Amino acid sequence: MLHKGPTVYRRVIFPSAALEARARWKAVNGKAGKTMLRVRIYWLDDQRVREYPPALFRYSSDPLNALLFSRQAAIEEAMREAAEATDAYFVWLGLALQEERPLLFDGMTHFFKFDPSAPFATSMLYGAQQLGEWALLLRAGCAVVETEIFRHFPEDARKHVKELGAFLQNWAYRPEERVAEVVVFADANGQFAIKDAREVVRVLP
Amino acid sequence: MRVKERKVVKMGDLTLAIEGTWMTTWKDGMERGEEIRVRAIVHWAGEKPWSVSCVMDDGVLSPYAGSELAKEYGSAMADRHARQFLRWLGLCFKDEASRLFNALDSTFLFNPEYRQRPSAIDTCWRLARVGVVASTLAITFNQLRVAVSKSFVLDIQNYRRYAPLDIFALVGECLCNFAAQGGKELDLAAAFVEVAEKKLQEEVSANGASDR
Repeated sequence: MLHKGPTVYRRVIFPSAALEARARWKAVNGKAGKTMLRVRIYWLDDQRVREYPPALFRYSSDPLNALLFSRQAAIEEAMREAAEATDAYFVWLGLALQEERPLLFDGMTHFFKFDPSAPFATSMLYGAQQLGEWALLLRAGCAVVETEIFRHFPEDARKHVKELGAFLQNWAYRPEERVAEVVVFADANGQFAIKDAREVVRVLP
Repeated sequence: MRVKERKVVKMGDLTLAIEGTWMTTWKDGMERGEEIRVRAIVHWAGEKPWSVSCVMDDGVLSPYAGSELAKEYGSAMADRHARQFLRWLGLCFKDEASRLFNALDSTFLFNPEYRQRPSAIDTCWRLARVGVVASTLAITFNQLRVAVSKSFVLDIQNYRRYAPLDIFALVGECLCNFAAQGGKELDLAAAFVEVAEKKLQEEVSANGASDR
């Protein structure tokens, strides 16, 4: 039986910081599974790292265990589940950076069932609780993106934030580049640029 | 300065205290802001009490906070938030998800549709805050629901008598009434019986009128 799936990482590297979202599927009591998302911020200059409280992506009612799958299939399924969590994070982060508030709000409230038409007030509360954990991680992500871009690319910073938002949103939808990182850097002319590294190449502190 | 207001709800073995706290926050040696917290203290008979809390509001210092009215202002704010929390708890028991959603939205203003362009980071922050409040509410709700389920209300005879009235909705009504009246202590069992008997009498008289 598979107890833990592999961790799926995605990173956005800025000139002096990095934002990392990682997710992992884990078995719960051998009967169900859950996928948690963790967000870390690395400050590259002073080799510091901060991890925020983890947030639950979802419970999987169907256990990804070896009774149902071969071990390899179970691992792949667990990876797919974790990748979905990191995708969701970057899609929502992209929306937040583009100031697409209604889309972000509707997407998150729908996913987490924080819905005024819920049959039970408690199910709405649990949705709100889960959504709140994610919102905190998104806020941390937004804060580091804005800080880094305003610090290193002060000219048209707001425009660059939106550009990065659009890039992240598209990037998260491209499955072939799932284990990858995005690098935000100054090009040869000192202008804002984003590149998509296909492999994780950087060793973070 | 710190002012606390406490509301106590008793149900069987459980004593639930909802404590609103208004306090000023300090920065650089000066009182610069204020914060309002709500703490739910859960005390089961014979067990050690424990609590969960959440920040309901924080911001810059109100002009009242620096005046001689500070204590009254703080007390009113603490009382208001404790009552508000009890009201939300009542809405949970009544399963009024829509009213609860709107009540949370009017406090935390998280729905971007109804606001004058809050930034996305602000929306995230408001949603994060409502999540913490929801978590506190859910924990408190579960404890109180256990207390109601363990109490005399769900004894077989009482259950038969009160079940058609929707027991948990009546508990919710008692909590909402208590929050609206602003008392200090609520004997939930007694309040429940009072409201339930009143409803039964109303039903009996309504049936009598229709028979005639």
